[in-house]
Amino acid sequence: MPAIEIKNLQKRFGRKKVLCDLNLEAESGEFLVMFGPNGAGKTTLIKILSTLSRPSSGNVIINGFDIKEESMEVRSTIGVLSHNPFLYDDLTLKENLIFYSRMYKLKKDEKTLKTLADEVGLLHRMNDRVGQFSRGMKQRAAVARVILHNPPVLLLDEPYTGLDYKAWEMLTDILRKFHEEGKTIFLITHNVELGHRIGERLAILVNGKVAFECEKKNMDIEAFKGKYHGLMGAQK
Amino acid sequence: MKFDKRLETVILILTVFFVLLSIYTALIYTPEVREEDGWSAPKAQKIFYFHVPAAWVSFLAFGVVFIMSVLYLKNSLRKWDTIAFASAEIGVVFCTLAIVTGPIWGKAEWGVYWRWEDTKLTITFVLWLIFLAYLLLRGGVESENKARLAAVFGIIGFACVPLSFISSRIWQSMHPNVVATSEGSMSSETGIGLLVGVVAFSFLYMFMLRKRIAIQEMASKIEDLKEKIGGI
Amino acid sequence: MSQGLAIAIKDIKTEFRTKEMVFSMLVFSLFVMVAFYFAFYFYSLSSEALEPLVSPILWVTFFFAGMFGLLTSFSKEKDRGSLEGLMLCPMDRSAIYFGKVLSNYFLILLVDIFALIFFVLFFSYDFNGNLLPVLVVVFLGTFCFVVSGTLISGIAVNAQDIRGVLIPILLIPIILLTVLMPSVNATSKALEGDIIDAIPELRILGVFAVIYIAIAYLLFDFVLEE
Ligand SMILES: Nc1ncnc2c1ncn2[C@@H]1O[C@H](COP(=O)(O)OP(=O)(O)OP(=O)(O)O)[C@@H](O)[C@H]1O
Ligand SMILES: [Mg+2]
Repeated sequence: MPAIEIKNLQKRFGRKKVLCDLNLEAESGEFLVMFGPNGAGKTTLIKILSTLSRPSSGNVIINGFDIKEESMEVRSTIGVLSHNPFLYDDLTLKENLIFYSRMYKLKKDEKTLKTLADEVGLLHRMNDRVGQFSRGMKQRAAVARVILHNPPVLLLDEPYTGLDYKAWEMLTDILRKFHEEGKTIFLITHNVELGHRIGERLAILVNGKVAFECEKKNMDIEAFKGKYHGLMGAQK
Repeated sequence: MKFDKRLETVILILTVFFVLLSIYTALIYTPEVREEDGWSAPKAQKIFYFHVPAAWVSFLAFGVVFIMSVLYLKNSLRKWDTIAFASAEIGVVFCTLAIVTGPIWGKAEWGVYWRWEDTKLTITFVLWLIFLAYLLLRGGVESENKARLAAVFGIIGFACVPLSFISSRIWQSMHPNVVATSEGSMSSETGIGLLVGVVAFSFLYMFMLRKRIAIQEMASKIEDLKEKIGGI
Repeated sequence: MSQGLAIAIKDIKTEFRTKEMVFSMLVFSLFVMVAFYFAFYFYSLSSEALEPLVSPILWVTFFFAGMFGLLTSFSKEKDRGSLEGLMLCPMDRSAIYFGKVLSNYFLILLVDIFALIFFVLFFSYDFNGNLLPVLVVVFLGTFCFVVSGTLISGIAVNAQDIRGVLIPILLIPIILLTVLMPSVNATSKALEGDIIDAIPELRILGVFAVIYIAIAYLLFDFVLEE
């Protein structure tokens, strides 16, 4: 069963068509990486997948749940990480995590929270306000928020923005670990090298359509780069 | 297409006919109220043949906004939103008429323009404010986001109204009961006069609504064409 | 519902940590009282002349100070992007509304009580033992204000471009007949010591609170969605 199934998806803002007849599938446990020029509609797509935005037409099924009819179930199966950490600056990291575990109706004791913070390398900052964190630390904290409820499907919209080398490695390691655990990962990034290195399947979105799709093993990085640059020009 | 054109002609003819007829019934056909019955300005009372239909049409128009908003939220088809917006605009126009004609009469009859104790007038005024706010919320810019929010606001605004009427019984109403004579029953001429007015204004509303929607559709067609020319 | 409560607790906790909003609301209500005081300065109001002005002054202050609170309650989340975080949680969107209602109610009530104190100090007013009935009206009227205001502020925040002015523009016509008039009337009656007399108004407030909550429950999904 595919974990993400997008059929004839359309999204319009007023008269502007942002996504047109988009079809895409990701098998359960697959690592799908999407690229695309600015304004191609990648963020819009992630917003629809994560039930933040309503599609104009078309169907999306995530882990067997329809995003329109069973949005509640969809929300508890996905973890969403974007450039915005979705954390409260005036609360400490620990308070933020406790708040979100309440929102997900989870019982988290001190120890699991600590393990979580340790995993993203923020154990020593547990009791500091998130507002005092640097950009990269906030992003690490956001990773802790995303994996809090152990979601089987991860949607990531340019999660690498603002991360230093160490944090970058940490996020990549975490993604690898999740991939090994059999989680489905849908990553959007502008970094072709990185995407090509960690992804299994690659897709390029241009003008709201999937313009190109391939298995990584069938295409080496240079060929893929060439393809991507070729398609870039088509974006309006 | 052809049927649409014909329907429009029919509505136009009926509108013109009933508007002319209502001018006749209001000014000539209907009897003047008498000073003996306690009216201090009998001639001014004639304004009611315009005031009541205008108020009625504004309520009708806002009712249409309510229904179209519900439909729009249900299936987000643009046409429902277009109708709701057009109806709100026309409703505000008629509502303005109603709250202007009310005080004109009030000045003649009571010597003051506005009596806040008159709950019907006050509620109409508040309704006018609500839909003015509705138009501001839409703010010219067309977007789905605003259409949705405006739909929610339209529902809230209209839902308050019938209930305001019920609750306003607490504040005793001063609103004149124009349709009833001193015996408490409506004279048939008065009734016909009001009915003709209401029918005329309703047709006028229908005509204006169709025109407004047509303009809206034209505008969006132009936008489409612009995009075709401008876009690659 | 437990999630709504969690949101409310989170809001109140962050609010008391920064005290930005509560503090500006308090200062604002103080200034409104000062403005009223100076506006009536030359009339040197006797307590009799003051009597009919008490409840209008109070409610105008409550509403305008309360609007400050409503202004930030969603826009803060929206600007910092955390609203999306809330919307990603597996719960009904109305839980966000209920959470905001609870936190707004708590904070605005707090400000109302301070405004009452400011009023007593500035106009050296004596409630003559009618304070309790007045408080009952204040609690109910503010509740009705908060349930409608939270809904409207959700709408205003999502209409982005002009949201600052939008809340008063959308909210004032809505509350005129449904909250303002019954609250002022009921307070006047309560000041005369007849809370029983005020029951019709209290009933209206209750009915409208239920209606606003019902509308919000039904439609809040549409308010937040993009
Ligand atoms: N709320 C909105 N209203 C109107 N248009 C929007 C809205 N959100 C996005 N768009 C438009 O949709 C298009 C796609 O935007 P989107 O953010 O999905 O692009 P993206 O692929 O994520 O780009 P980037 O690489 O810059 O992040 C853009 O042209 C944008 O202007
Ligand atoms: Mg983007």
